[in-house]
Amino acid sequence: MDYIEFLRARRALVIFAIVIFAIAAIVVASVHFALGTVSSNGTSIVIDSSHPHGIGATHEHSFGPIYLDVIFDGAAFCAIVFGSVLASSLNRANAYANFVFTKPISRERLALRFMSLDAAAIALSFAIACVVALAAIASLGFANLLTSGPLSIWVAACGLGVAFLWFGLLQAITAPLPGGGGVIVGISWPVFLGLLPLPLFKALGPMVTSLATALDFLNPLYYMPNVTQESHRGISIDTATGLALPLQTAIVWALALVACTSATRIWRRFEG
Amino acid sequence: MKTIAIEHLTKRYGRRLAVDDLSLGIEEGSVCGLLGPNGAGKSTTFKCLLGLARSDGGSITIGGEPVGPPTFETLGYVPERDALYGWLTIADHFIIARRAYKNYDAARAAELAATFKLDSRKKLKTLSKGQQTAVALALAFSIRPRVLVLDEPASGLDPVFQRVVLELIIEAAAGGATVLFSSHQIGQVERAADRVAILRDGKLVLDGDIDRLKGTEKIVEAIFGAEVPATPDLDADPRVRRIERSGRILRAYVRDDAEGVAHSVETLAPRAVTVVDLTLEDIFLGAVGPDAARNGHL
Repeated sequence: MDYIEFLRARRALVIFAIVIFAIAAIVVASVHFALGTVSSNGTSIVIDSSHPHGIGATHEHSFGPIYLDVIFDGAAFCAIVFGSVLASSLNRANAYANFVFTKPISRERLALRFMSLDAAAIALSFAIACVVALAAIASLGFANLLTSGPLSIWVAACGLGVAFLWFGLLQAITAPLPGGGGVIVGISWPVFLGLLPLPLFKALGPMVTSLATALDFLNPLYYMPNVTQESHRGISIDTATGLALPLQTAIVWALALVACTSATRIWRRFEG
Repeated sequence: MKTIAIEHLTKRYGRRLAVDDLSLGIEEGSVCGLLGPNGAGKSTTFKCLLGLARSDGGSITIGGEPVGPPTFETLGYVPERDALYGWLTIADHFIIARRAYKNYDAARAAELAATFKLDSRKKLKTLSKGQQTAVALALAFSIRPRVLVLDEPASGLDPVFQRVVLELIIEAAAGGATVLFSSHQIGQVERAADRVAILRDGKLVLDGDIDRLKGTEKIVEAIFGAEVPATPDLDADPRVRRIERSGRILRAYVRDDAEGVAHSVETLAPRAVTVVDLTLEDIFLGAVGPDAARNGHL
């Protein structure tokens, strides 16, 4: 049965790769056409705008290093988008309960296989986004500006954990429903995005802000590391929780695991 | 031992009682036709049988074991509604079956695909309802099942393929498979099944060997010279399950003592009296028709 999910994840991954590659190609082409020939001298970016499409002069911009953290953060966002596409796989299977649940495999194992395949595809989408971003940077001649920060690996791990948490939550929410998973996935975006700044609106009253603060603990975006690269001062990484990034990463992965386990238990009780 | 044993099965959807204390046992190699009007509880019974719906009471075993993943290793199921993936090809569905079942027989699958004239490259969403049913049948029979649960297996198929389905069922039963299938076409049940179970409003109203039912259930038909006279004695006769009057013709549906009832009818001086064998359709209508309560089925 996992073959169905394999085909679906593969198809989604191919479309995702094409879209990411197209976006990267447009960005690279835009940089070339808008600014002229862009290159790096190892410490800064040089723009030769004497190119016919350029602005007619040669500039040298001190840009500083390009941190992998920024790329990982962006790739994690891409993985979240991709993960939300796959996030209703159990719900989708419910529409085929007569076929799916009459095979010699337990629902728990089936859920595990479905979600493992989805998780692998999400991880792969993250890797694809990273590779395409790195390739785009290299094609612009900035490869030698790339550098890793002390928390780069944690940014990647936490971002990927956020993608898995989003995926797991949506699986748990949609698993008991006979259909409509896609609608819930679509609604999840404004809900999670809207919930994030809600505690800051004190005018809504203490009740609403307290509730929003509590709900934010289940909001995957709440755990997304806030990565900011400034041209000269390097990189800054903040967390909304105020926790150290490694600890936040552990929490987000644990929550993702709980969400996926809950989804499995809920799905087991679905009646076709 | 019954291969399929349903004991006191009860299933509610909210306040509605979909299956009411149903007990049914089917022996190995037997073909049982499950009949009933729409909403009688046939599909719910199948769902409970296969673990797709949780029962509110009673027990179900297949091959002596409660239904679980191992049950499905040798169980072929064809659901009433579309259950296959529209965006996948027929070949993809066969790959899924090959990966899911130890007993999957690729040669048998190919043979069935050829029998039903299926093009394995086609996506399910491009197929007609009948062709989709054919794919589901090919998948169900390709695992060489020991138990077959078929919900309207000939639905949407043309008469040629309907015949093929009945032959497949009979062939499987001859090989020792136990078959439970539903159909609205009583002729199909009569042709393939050796026993019948009739549901009405979730209750089992009639269950038994088709030949035995036909042997005990008869129609005493009398033709009168004028309008059928009043028959108070016949109306009160416990052997008579139902009486139909149509102009000069009287039909009495009788259980067990048809000759005795025929003698009683002769006292009303009809022009002719004959005892006619019931068809399964007559038995079915007697069990679920508007006079079913009088017939002793409710």
